[in-house]
Amino acid sequence: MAIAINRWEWLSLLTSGDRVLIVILMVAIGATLRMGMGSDPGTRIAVRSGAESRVYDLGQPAVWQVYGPIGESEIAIGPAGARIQASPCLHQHCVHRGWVHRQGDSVVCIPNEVVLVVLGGQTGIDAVVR
Amino acid sequence: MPNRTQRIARTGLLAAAAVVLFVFEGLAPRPLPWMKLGLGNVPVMVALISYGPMAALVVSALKLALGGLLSGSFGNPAFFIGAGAGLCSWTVMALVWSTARRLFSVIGLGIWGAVTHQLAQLALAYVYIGQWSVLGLIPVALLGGLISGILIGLLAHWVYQRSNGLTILE
Repeated sequence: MAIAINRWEWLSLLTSGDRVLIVILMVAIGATLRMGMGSDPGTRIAVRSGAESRVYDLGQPAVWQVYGPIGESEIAIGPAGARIQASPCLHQHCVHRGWVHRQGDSVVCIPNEVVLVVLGGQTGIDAVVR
Repeated sequence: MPNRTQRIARTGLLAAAAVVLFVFEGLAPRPLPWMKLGLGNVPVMVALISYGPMAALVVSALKLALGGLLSGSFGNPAFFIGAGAGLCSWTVMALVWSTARRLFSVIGLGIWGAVTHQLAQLALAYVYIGQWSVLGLIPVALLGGLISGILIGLLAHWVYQRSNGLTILE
Protein backbone atom coordinates (compact mmCIF):
# COMPACT_ATOMS: atom_id res chain seq x y z
CA MET A 1 0.00 0.00 0.00
CA ALA A 2 2.53 2.58 -1.07
CA ILE A 3 1.26 6.07 -1.71
CA ALA A 4 2.76 7.41 -4.90
CA ILE A 5 3.58 10.97 -3.98
CA ASN A 6 4.28 12.96 -7.08
CA ARG A 7 5.23 16.48 -6.16
CA TRP A 8 2.55 18.04 -8.34
CA GLU A 9 -0.04 15.28 -8.10
CA TRP A 10 -2.29 17.42 -5.94
CA LEU A 11 -2.72 19.95 -8.74
CA SER A 12 -4.64 17.39 -10.76
CA LEU A 13 -7.04 16.90 -7.85
CA LEU A 14 -8.11 20.53 -7.90
CA THR A 15 -11.55 21.28 -9.31
CA SER A 16 -12.29 24.53 -11.09
CA GLY A 17 -14.03 25.72 -7.91
CA ASP A 18 -10.80 25.11 -5.98
CA ARG A 19 -8.79 27.06 -8.53
CA VAL A 20 -11.16 30.03 -8.40
CA LEU A 21 -11.00 29.95 -4.59
CA ILE A 22 -7.18 29.91 -4.62
CA VAL A 23 -7.00 32.80 -7.11
CA ILE A 24 -9.47 34.87 -5.07
CA LEU A 25 -7.43 34.25 -1.93
CA MET A 26 -4.19 35.24 -3.64
CA VAL A 27 -5.77 38.50 -4.84
CA ALA A 28 -7.06 39.12 -1.30
CA ILE A 29 -3.57 38.48 0.14
CA GLY A 30 -2.07 40.97 -2.33
CA ALA A 31 -4.72 43.59 -1.62
CA THR A 32 -4.50 43.33 2.18
CA LEU A 33 -0.68 43.35 2.04
CA ARG A 34 -0.75 46.56 0.03
CA MET A 35 -3.14 48.14 2.54
CA GLY A 36 -1.01 47.19 5.53
CA MET A 37 2.33 48.35 4.17
CA GLY A 38 4.12 51.62 4.41
CA SER A 39 3.28 52.64 7.95
CA ASP A 40 5.53 55.29 9.43
CA PRO A 41 7.82 55.00 12.43
CA GLY A 42 5.89 55.62 15.62
CA THR A 43 6.61 58.18 18.32
CA ARG A 44 4.80 56.76 21.32
CA ILE A 45 4.00 53.38 22.79
CA ALA A 46 0.75 52.44 24.50
CA VAL A 47 1.23 49.82 27.19
CA ARG A 48 -1.82 47.99 28.42
CA SER A 49 -1.65 45.61 31.33
CA GLY A 50 -4.99 44.15 32.34
CA ALA A 51 -7.41 47.09 32.52
CA GLU A 52 -4.69 49.71 32.93
CA SER A 53 -3.35 51.57 29.92
CA ARG A 54 -0.57 54.17 29.71
CA VAL A 55 1.29 55.91 26.91
CA TYR A 56 5.07 56.50 26.90
CA ASP A 57 7.43 58.36 24.56
CA LEU A 58 9.53 56.13 22.35
CA GLY A 59 12.34 58.69 22.45
CA GLN A 60 13.25 58.03 26.08
CA PRO A 61 15.01 54.71 26.80
CA ALA A 62 13.55 52.93 29.81
CA VAL A 63 13.10 49.52 31.36
CA TRP A 64 10.29 48.73 33.77
CA GLN A 65 7.97 46.00 34.96
CA VAL A 66 4.24 45.56 34.71
CA TYR A 67 2.25 42.98 36.64
CA GLY A 68 -0.23 40.59 35.06
CA PRO A 69 -2.23 37.57 36.21
CA ILE A 70 0.75 35.19 35.95
CA GLY A 71 3.54 37.47 37.04
CA GLU A 72 5.91 40.23 36.04
CA SER A 73 6.60 41.27 32.43
CA GLU A 74 9.59 43.47 31.70
CA ILE A 75 9.12 46.15 29.08
CA ALA A 76 11.94 48.10 27.45
CA ILE A 77 12.14 51.18 25.28
CA GLY A 78 15.37 51.54 23.33
CA PRO A 79 16.74 53.01 20.09
CA ALA A 80 15.10 50.20 18.08
CA GLY A 81 11.62 50.80 19.53
CA ALA A 82 9.89 48.94 22.33
CA ARG A 83 9.67 45.31 23.32
CA ILE A 84 8.72 42.90 26.04
CA GLN A 85 12.12 41.62 27.13
CA ALA A 86 11.10 39.20 29.83
CA SER A 87 7.81 37.46 30.47
CA PRO A 88 6.56 34.70 32.78
CA CYS A 89 4.51 33.11 29.98
CA LEU A 90 5.11 29.56 28.73
CA HIS A 91 5.76 30.03 25.02
CA GLN A 92 7.56 33.41 25.12
CA HIS A 93 5.98 34.49 21.84
CA CYS A 94 5.86 38.09 23.07
CA VAL A 95 9.59 38.10 23.85
CA HIS A 96 10.46 36.56 20.49
CA ARG A 97 8.41 39.22 18.73
CA GLY A 98 11.35 41.52 19.42
CA TRP A 99 11.46 45.28 18.91
CA VAL A 100 8.53 47.12 17.34
CA HIS A 101 8.74 50.70 16.11
CA ARG A 102 6.28 51.20 13.23
CA GLN A 103 2.88 52.77 13.78
CA GLY A 104 0.31 50.10 14.43
CA ASP A 105 2.89 47.44 15.28
CA SER A 106 2.13 45.57 18.45
CA VAL A 107 3.44 43.03 20.90
CA VAL A 108 0.83 40.93 22.63
CA CYS A 109 1.21 38.58 25.56
CA ILE A 110 -2.13 36.87 26.03
CA PRO A 111 -1.17 34.75 29.08
CA ASN A 112 -0.02 37.76 31.11
CA GLU A 113 -2.48 40.20 29.46
CA VAL A 114 0.13 42.71 28.32
CA VAL A 115 -0.25 44.63 25.08
CA LEU A 116 2.15 47.13 23.50
CA VAL A 117 0.99 49.20 20.53
CA VAL A 118 3.12 51.75 18.68
CA LEU A 119 1.31 55.03 18.13
CA GLY A 120 2.07 58.05 16.00
CA GLY A 121 1.27 61.68 16.69
CA GLN A 122 2.61 64.19 19.18
CA THR A 123 4.81 63.05 22.00
CA GLY A 124 4.45 64.48 25.45
CA ILE A 125 7.40 66.77 24.77
CA ASP A 126 6.37 70.13 23.31
CA ALA A 127 9.77 70.95 21.85
CA VAL A 128 13.39 70.01 22.10
CA VAL A 129 15.72 72.95 22.73
CA ARG A 130 19.42 72.51 22.14
CA MET B 1 -22.50 1.75 3.90
CA PRO B 2 -21.20 0.97 7.36
CA ASN B 3 -23.77 0.35 10.05
CA ARG B 4 -24.35 2.53 13.09
CA THR B 5 -22.00 0.69 15.42
CA GLN B 6 -19.15 0.80 12.92
CA ARG B 7 -19.76 4.47 12.39
CA ILE B 8 -19.65 5.24 16.09
CA ALA B 9 -16.48 3.17 16.54
CA ARG B 10 -14.75 4.81 13.60
CA THR B 11 -15.79 8.29 14.69
CA GLY B 12 -14.26 7.46 18.07
CA LEU B 13 -11.04 6.34 16.39
CA LEU B 14 -10.93 9.55 14.38
CA ALA B 15 -11.50 11.60 17.55
CA ALA B 16 -8.65 9.77 19.29
CA ALA B 17 -6.37 10.42 16.33
CA ALA B 18 -7.39 14.09 16.32
CA VAL B 19 -6.56 14.49 20.03
CA VAL B 20 -3.15 12.84 19.61
CA LEU B 21 -2.29 14.96 16.57
CA PHE B 22 -3.53 18.14 18.28
CA VAL B 23 -1.49 17.57 21.43
CA PHE B 24 1.58 16.41 19.49
CA GLU B 25 1.50 19.46 17.29
CA GLY B 26 1.16 21.72 20.32
CA LEU B 27 4.39 20.26 21.72
CA ALA B 28 6.37 20.59 18.50
CA PRO B 29 8.46 23.77 18.34
CA ARG B 30 7.31 26.39 15.88
CA PRO B 31 8.67 29.79 14.94
CA LEU B 32 5.42 31.74 15.37
CA PRO B 33 2.25 31.10 17.36
CA TRP B 34 0.13 31.13 14.21
CA MET B 35 2.41 28.84 12.27
CA LYS B 36 0.53 25.68 13.00
CA LEU B 37 -0.49 23.24 10.33
CA GLY B 38 -3.56 22.06 12.20
CA LEU B 39 -2.85 18.34 11.84
CA GLY B 40 -5.70 17.64 14.25
CA ASN B 41 -8.08 18.84 11.57
CA VAL B 42 -7.22 15.95 9.26
CA PRO B 43 -9.44 13.53 11.26
CA VAL B 44 -12.15 16.22 11.47
CA MET B 45 -12.18 16.47 7.67
CA VAL B 46 -12.07 12.70 7.23
CA ALA B 47 -15.08 12.43 9.57
CA LEU B 48 -16.87 15.10 7.56
CA ILE B 49 -16.39 13.47 4.18
CA SER B 50 -16.97 9.95 5.51
CA TYR B 51 -19.86 10.41 7.93
CA GLY B 52 -21.13 13.96 7.53
CA PRO B 53 -21.19 17.20 9.58
CA MET B 54 -22.39 15.76 12.89
CA ALA B 55 -19.55 13.23 13.08
CA ALA B 56 -17.10 16.01 12.22
CA LEU B 57 -18.52 18.18 15.00
CA VAL B 58 -18.11 15.33 17.49
CA VAL B 59 -14.49 14.78 16.44
CA SER B 60 -13.76 18.52 16.50
CA ALA B 61 -15.38 19.08 19.91
CA LEU B 62 -13.60 16.08 21.45
CA LYS B 63 -10.32 17.24 19.95
CA LEU B 64 -10.74 20.71 21.47
CA ALA B 65 -11.99 19.58 24.87
CA LEU B 66 -9.61 16.64 25.45
CA GLY B 67 -6.73 18.36 23.66
CA GLY B 68 -7.28 21.46 25.80
CA LEU B 69 -7.32 19.41 28.99
CA LEU B 70 -4.23 17.39 28.03
CA SER B 71 -2.18 20.39 26.94
CA GLY B 72 -3.23 22.40 29.97
CA SER B 73 -4.73 25.23 27.95
CA PHE B 74 -8.35 24.40 28.82
CA GLY B 75 -10.21 27.52 29.86
CA ASN B 76 -7.54 30.10 29.05
CA PRO B 77 -7.95 32.81 26.38
CA ALA B 78 -5.93 30.89 23.79
CA PHE B 79 -8.26 27.93 24.31
CA PHE B 80 -11.38 30.00 23.74
CA ILE B 81 -9.88 31.64 20.66
CA GLY B 82 -8.93 28.23 19.27
CA ALA B 83 -12.27 26.65 20.16
CA GLY B 84 -14.27 29.51 18.65
CA ALA B 85 -12.17 29.37 15.50
CA GLY B 86 -12.58 25.58 15.34
CA LEU B 87 -16.35 25.95 15.58
CA CYS B 88 -16.43 28.61 12.82
CA SER B 89 -14.23 26.42 10.67
CA TRP B 90 -16.53 23.43 11.17
CA THR B 91 -19.61 25.54 10.34
CA VAL B 92 -18.14 26.75 7.05
CA MET B 93 -16.80 23.32 6.05
CA ALA B 94 -20.15 21.68 6.90
CA LEU B 95 -22.00 24.29 4.82
CA VAL B 96 -19.65 23.94 1.86
CA TRP B 97 -19.81 20.16 2.09
CA SER B 98 -23.62 20.07 2.28
CA THR B 99 -24.32 22.66 -0.40
CA ALA B 100 -21.36 22.91 -2.77
CA ARG B 101 -19.74 19.48 -2.60
CA ARG B 102 -19.58 19.15 -6.38
CA LEU B 103 -17.79 22.45 -6.75
CA PHE B 104 -14.80 21.76 -4.51
CA SER B 105 -12.41 18.88 -3.91
CA VAL B 106 -11.27 17.85 -0.45
CA ILE B 107 -8.40 20.31 -0.93
CA GLY B 108 -10.87 23.13 -1.60
CA LEU B 109 -12.79 22.08 1.51
CA GLY B 110 -9.53 22.20 3.48
CA ILE B 111 -8.81 25.71 2.23
CA TRP B 112 -12.29 26.88 3.28
CA GLY B 113 -11.79 25.39 6.72
CA ALA B 114 -8.25 26.66 7.27
CA VAL B 115 -8.88 30.20 6.01
CA THR B 116 -12.03 30.44 8.15
CA HIS B 117 -10.06 29.16 11.13
CA GLN B 118 -7.35 31.79 10.62
CA LEU B 119 -9.76 34.70 10.12
CA ALA B 120 -11.97 33.66 13.04
CA GLN B 121 -8.86 33.42 15.22
CA LEU B 122 -7.89 36.99 14.29
CA ALA B 123 -11.43 38.24 14.87
CA LEU B 124 -11.56 36.60 18.31
CA ALA B 125 -8.09 37.90 19.17
CA TYR B 126 -9.33 41.34 18.19
CA VAL B 127 -12.37 40.98 20.45
CA TYR B 128 -10.11 39.85 23.27
CA ILE B 129 -7.35 42.41 22.87
CA GLY B 130 -9.40 45.28 21.45
CA GLN B 131 -6.62 46.58 19.23
CA TRP B 132 -7.05 47.18 15.53
CA SER B 133 -3.40 46.32 14.93
CA VAL B 134 -4.38 42.63 15.00
CA LEU B 135 -6.02 43.24 11.64
CA GLY B 136 -2.60 43.93 10.14
CA LEU B 137 -2.10 40.19 10.33
CA ILE B 138 -4.87 39.49 7.81
CA PRO B 139 -2.51 38.84 4.86
CA VAL B 140 -0.46 36.46 6.99
CA ALA B 141 -3.64 34.72 8.12
CA LEU B 142 -4.90 34.34 4.56
CA LEU B 143 -1.58 33.01 3.29
CA GLY B 144 -1.23 30.64 6.24
CA GLY B 145 -4.79 29.44 5.75
CA LEU B 146 -4.22 28.85 2.05
CA ILE B 147 -1.04 26.83 2.56
CA SER B 148 -2.21 24.81 5.54
CA GLY B 149 -5.62 24.28 3.91
CA ILE B 150 -4.05 22.73 0.83
CA LEU B 151 -1.78 20.49 2.92
CA ILE B 152 -4.48 19.42 5.37
CA GLY B 153 -6.97 18.85 2.56
CA LEU B 154 -4.47 16.73 0.67
CA LEU B 155 -3.69 14.68 3.78
CA ALA B 156 -7.40 14.19 4.46
CA HIS B 157 -7.89 13.14 0.84
CA TRP B 158 -5.15 10.51 1.13
CA VAL B 159 -6.38 9.22 4.49
CA TYR B 160 -9.93 9.01 3.15
CA GLN B 161 -8.81 7.07 0.09
CA ARG B 162 -6.72 4.66 2.18
CA SER B 163 -9.45 4.12 4.79
CA ASN B 164 -11.97 3.18 2.12
CA GLY B 165 -10.26 -0.16 1.74
CA LEU B 166 -9.84 -0.53 5.47
CA THR B 167 -11.52 -3.64 6.83
CA ILE B 168 -10.72 -2.96 10.48
CA LEU B 169 -13.79 -3.01 12.72
CA GLU B 170 -15.98 -4.66 10.17
